[in-house]
Amino acid sequence: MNRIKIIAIYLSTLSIIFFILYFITNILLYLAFTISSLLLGSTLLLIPYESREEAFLRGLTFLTYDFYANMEKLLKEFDVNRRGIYFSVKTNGDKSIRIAVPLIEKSPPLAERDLGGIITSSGGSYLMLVPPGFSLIKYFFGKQEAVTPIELEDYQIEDILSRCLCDIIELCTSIKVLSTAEHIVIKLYNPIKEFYGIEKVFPRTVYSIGSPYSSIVASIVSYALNKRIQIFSEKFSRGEITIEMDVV
Amino acid sequence: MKLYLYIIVMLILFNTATIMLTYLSEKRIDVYFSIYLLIYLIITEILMPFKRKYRSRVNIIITICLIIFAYIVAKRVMEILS
Repeated sequence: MNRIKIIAIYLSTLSIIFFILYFITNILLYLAFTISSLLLGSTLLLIPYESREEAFLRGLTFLTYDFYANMEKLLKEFDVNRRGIYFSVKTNGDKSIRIAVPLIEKSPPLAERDLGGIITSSGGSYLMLVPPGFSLIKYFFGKQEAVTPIELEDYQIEDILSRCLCDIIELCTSIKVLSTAEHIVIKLYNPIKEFYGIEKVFPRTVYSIGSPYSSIVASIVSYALNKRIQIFSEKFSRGEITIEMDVV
Repeated sequence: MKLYLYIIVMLILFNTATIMLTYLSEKRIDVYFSIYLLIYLIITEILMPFKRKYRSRVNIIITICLIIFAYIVAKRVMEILS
């Protein structure tokens, strides 16, 4: 419950107490306090207050849905329904992140650098897209010292993901990373619920690049490990999202 | 935040008005109510964030208060006339 509603309930309760006191003691001052606290308490109770952060989050959710709508349209236009590959590229000497969605079934390996444009035929036919985690990566890794592209332990990936997803954008409250023989398994605990069910609205996009949760996670993991990552599956449950990714 | 300022200013003015009226030994509750309503209308107009969804709800309270105020005025007029 937000603070405004707590103040409203407090004032309304106070007005009831003052009214009872007025009944017992018959002192007019209590009745005056009853009126004043009731007036303010009922106003605060009635107004549908929401903090600016809540409204802003709703706005960002709409923008993300719009991004997915555009992606859906683009993927339909190119008739693409394949899993995208997250990989780091060199753009003007800087390291960045892209998703490459294969346009044909058997595409040869990707080039290491971004040639620009949305379709690249350098080493294969791919739709090159900028993932949702792009700006977050620029913000986070821009502040950090360069992450050495060597094998990172699970706890190191967990630390990077926690700082990005829990501290900077507060997408979830905690993260667990487990590496199994087949996949990298990442669990997000208490995530924001705004993007639950997005796969029903934009099935093609979610199949290709993943939901906003897994897309951001895959971007960060790919950037940190300097490896090509493909989202294998994601499961949504009440307070937890399980994302399985493969290094390709 | 503007809504917190609204609450603080309203509480300060309500309490100041109560202390002043008590100091003046005012015994009529309708005087208290009228002063509170006046403060409420002015502060709401000045400090309440201008959002349509807020205003529509606040208008309900204002309408109820104005009905009570009209009843008080009518009662006073009747007293004077009789």
